[in-house]
Amino acid sequence: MRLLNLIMLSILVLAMSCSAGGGTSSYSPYRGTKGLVFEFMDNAPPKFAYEGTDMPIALRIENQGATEISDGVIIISSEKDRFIIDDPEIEVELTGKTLYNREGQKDVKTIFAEARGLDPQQETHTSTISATACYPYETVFTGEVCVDTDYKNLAGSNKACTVRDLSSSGQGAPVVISRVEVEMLPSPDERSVIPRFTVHVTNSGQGRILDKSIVEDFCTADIDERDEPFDVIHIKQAKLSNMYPLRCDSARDQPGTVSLARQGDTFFRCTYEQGIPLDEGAFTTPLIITLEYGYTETISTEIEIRAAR
Amino acid sequence: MHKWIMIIVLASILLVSCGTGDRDETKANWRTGAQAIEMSFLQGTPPKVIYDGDVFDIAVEIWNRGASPLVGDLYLTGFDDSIFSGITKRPLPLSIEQHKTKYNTEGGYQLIRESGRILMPEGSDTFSTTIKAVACYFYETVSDVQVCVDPEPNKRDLSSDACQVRDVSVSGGQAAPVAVTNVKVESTPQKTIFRITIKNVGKGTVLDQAVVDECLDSDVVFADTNWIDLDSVRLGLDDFLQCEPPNPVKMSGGTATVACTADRIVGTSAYSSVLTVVLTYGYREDIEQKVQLRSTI
Repeated sequence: MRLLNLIMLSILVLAMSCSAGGGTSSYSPYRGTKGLVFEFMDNAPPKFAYEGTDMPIALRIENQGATEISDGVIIISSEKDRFIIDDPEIEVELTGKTLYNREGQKDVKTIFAEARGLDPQQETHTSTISATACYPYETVFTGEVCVDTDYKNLAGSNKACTVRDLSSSGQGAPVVISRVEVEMLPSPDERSVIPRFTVHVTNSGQGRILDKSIVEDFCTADIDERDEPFDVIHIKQAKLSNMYPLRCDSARDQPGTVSLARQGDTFFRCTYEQGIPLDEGAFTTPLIITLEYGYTETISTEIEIRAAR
Repeated sequence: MHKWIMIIVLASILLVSCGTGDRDETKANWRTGAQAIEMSFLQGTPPKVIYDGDVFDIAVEIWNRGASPLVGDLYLTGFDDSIFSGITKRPLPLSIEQHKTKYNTEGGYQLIRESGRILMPEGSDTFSTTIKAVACYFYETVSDVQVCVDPEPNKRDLSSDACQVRDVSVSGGQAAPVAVTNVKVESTPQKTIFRITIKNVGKGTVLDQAVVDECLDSDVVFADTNWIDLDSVRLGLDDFLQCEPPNPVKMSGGTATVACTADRIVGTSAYSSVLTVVLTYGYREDIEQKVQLRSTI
């Protein structure tokens, strides 16, 4: 009986140590498809308010992604003539997740609004209050890429790695690099290989992508949506290892920029045009791609204004 | 009384068996085994986890466990040298004169060590890579096989024959990664033909000797692998045999067969002799270790 207890205890200790080890080593902030997450708090705004009274509008905000938000803004808006909101603009500055901080920064922001008076004939009126967030964000993709200069697979030696495509379900941002196709192309003189990466991008969040140059203006100023500020992504950085900067283009956009079809995905290609000499052999190295963009998302809630007569 | 006799008998058996253990069988059969090189990374070099900015060593312990001197190069590969700063991909000289002999059953030893520092690319938190150590070297196999030669296989009177002609299987290797594994003997009235089977019994790849010095170069391809040179095949002390196919001999599926003809066999009775086969070739084998790099930010 004592032996049985001892065996059970050993198995338990072993199982606990295994699970603890796995959890520690596998964490990365660059996972998931969330960026700024925000919601109205319970009863702020309340479900109903009497005309002529102040009411709180409180937002719980949290940066659930891996990029620090420093110039974000949330605008509270309502049906015209129904509420007086003195300062509808909320600044958003939140640090993101890091390797050592597994939770992004959270905050609660509160503003006050006054319900305007109803028409004499009205007893109640249901109105909508919206919160629209606009913030700059980044998607940082890092993947382990096998560079194999023996692209014809003629060398008889065991290779340190094999060229294969990469896939990911998210990088801690609403815009996701979902797949990278990896190819080794011969250079014209056949003395080097040109690594080529076809990068597939998807908007996996609930909002829309904005051109980074108009992020703040989109929320605070009147920008005509027909000017098409949407779905423009800038390729901030693309490199292989420390040594190999990549040149990225998409077929239809300007160099360094890529447009995403609404609710769809797109791709762009990056190459290291100088080529990697054949004698480098096969080796693993990080592929790092950083995308820059703005992101906007709106939530809303209904509130009933009641007559105070 | 019977009990005492039993104890004495058992003790005698025990002592006799102990005595058998003291006989030096290793030395008697020292030219065995399928290994030339025995390689391993020294514990913690490289470490399994290295942080950005860390200085680290890669040290490879190399034993020559075979029966020939070992000369060649060691290559460290599989890593990005802009991240593993200071570690060279150039060949590092490999030279172990000491080898297995009747008096030295351990062989020779060399330690190759390189030091470097990790420079993680900005934006990369962690990534894994495989470091390979690839040894390319020249080696030699010497195989002595006892064979029975019959100058007159069709004679009626076999009483004067000292042995009977039969095929010989050779197991256990010849302290080299390429070994003679079988010798088929065909006696005819004019000559004796030896069909010798040669096999890659090691863990690596046989290389053409011409490419050993640049064995990881991009122009070394599959076509350069599996070539051996049959340096000599000798029957007895001085009867050097003619063999086909001519050098170099291509191995297929890790095996080659050569046919060597002895046409200076004299006498009438079958006798035992030693067939000595000397092969030279290049050989490549590797070891690897996974390393995880982590940023400190």
